[in-house]
Amino acid sequence: MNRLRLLTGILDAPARSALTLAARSPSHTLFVGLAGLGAVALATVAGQGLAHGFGGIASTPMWSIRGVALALAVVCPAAVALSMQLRIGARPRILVGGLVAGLLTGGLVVASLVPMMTFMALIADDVLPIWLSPAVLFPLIALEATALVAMRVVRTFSNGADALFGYALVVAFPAVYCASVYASVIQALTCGG
Amino acid sequence: MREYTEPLSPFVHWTPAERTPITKRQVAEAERPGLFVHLLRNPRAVVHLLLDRQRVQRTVFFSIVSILLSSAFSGFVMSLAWADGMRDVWITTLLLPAGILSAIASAMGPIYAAGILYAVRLPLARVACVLLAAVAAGSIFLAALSPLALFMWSQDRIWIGPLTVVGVFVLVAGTSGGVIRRLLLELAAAMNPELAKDKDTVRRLRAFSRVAFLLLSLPIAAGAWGYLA
Repeated sequence: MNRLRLLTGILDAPARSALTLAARSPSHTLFVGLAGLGAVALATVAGQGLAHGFGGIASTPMWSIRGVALALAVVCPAAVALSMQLRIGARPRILVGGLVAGLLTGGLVVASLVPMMTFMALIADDVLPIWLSPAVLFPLIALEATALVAMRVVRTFSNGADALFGYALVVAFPAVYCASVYASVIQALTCGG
Repeated sequence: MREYTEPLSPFVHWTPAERTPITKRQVAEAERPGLFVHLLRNPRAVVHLLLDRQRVQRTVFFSIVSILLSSAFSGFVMSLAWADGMRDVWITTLLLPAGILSAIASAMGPIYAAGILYAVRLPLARVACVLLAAVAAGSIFLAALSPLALFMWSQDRIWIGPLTVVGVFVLVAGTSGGVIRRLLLELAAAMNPELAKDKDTVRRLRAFSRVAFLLLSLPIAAGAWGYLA
């Protein structure tokens, strides 16, 4: 019951949950973050598999999950360091809590998209362009959800000017992800992989 | 007291405790910032640590550990971009922190001498504390930004990658320079409030902080160039 309450708390009141995570040990934050990343990966694999068959499951979504991990690894440390430098109202551990809450929310958002994407793939009969496949789209949506929830946390604890920092997150996450996926696709096309 | 409110769903049952806004006290209790947060966010708190005889050793030790770990991480990540093999990566990871600490040690003498010339002589022990704190702030910042530099380098090795690396180092230098200036001004204000209000003293302190930054950045830049390039 407490765990369910923690989960719904993260979804409904991310700022308060970020505060709770900041007060607890870093292992809690890490656990919630890993759970969020796992949810995104599972939803992506399930969405891609249900929409386009599980045949290519071992190779196809890997570059997209790698893109998510890369976007998190590049943007999160830079965001935390810059938030300290710019003296954003949300303190570093609260910001990390917000990002982690956002990742879990993103996992839930893409999991809820799985049935619709499967239906779309069935209706479209494999004529959907590659950028509309779950392998490309789901991680992008999850990262946007992460950035939007983090922006909500930043706006809760900050004044109006700090909201620009939240908008920067909304741009940075998909930019890194798209660059990573584009490079992977180009590499796969040129190397025949 | 300031309160923080966030949008809540009207379709969910909230307890009265959950409906009340978050207070500033709750935020302060939830997160007690550590030294590395103070270094980047609030150098005034670092000055109090440096003036406290009980805590100054711990602060210096933490600064040295921060420099060692952060610069080792930065060396590892950045050398992944242009090293010839993993052997070079590990050598850079091990030698870069040692190079930076040696550079700080070599800059202490000239900065002490510059302090005498500007009539703002700072005892050598305090020079070491200030320099270590400033470099620790810069190296933490560098460690946080080095994955971005590596990513940009992997995207484009001709323009965006090198420009990002240069930009990251400029940001880090600006951070360290700003920390040196703020620490010196705050230290002077804490140790001698009357003198620190004097306009001429503030002018000399600012000039000294610029010279200290230049004297510190020269050997560090040379060391980083030597080990990373």
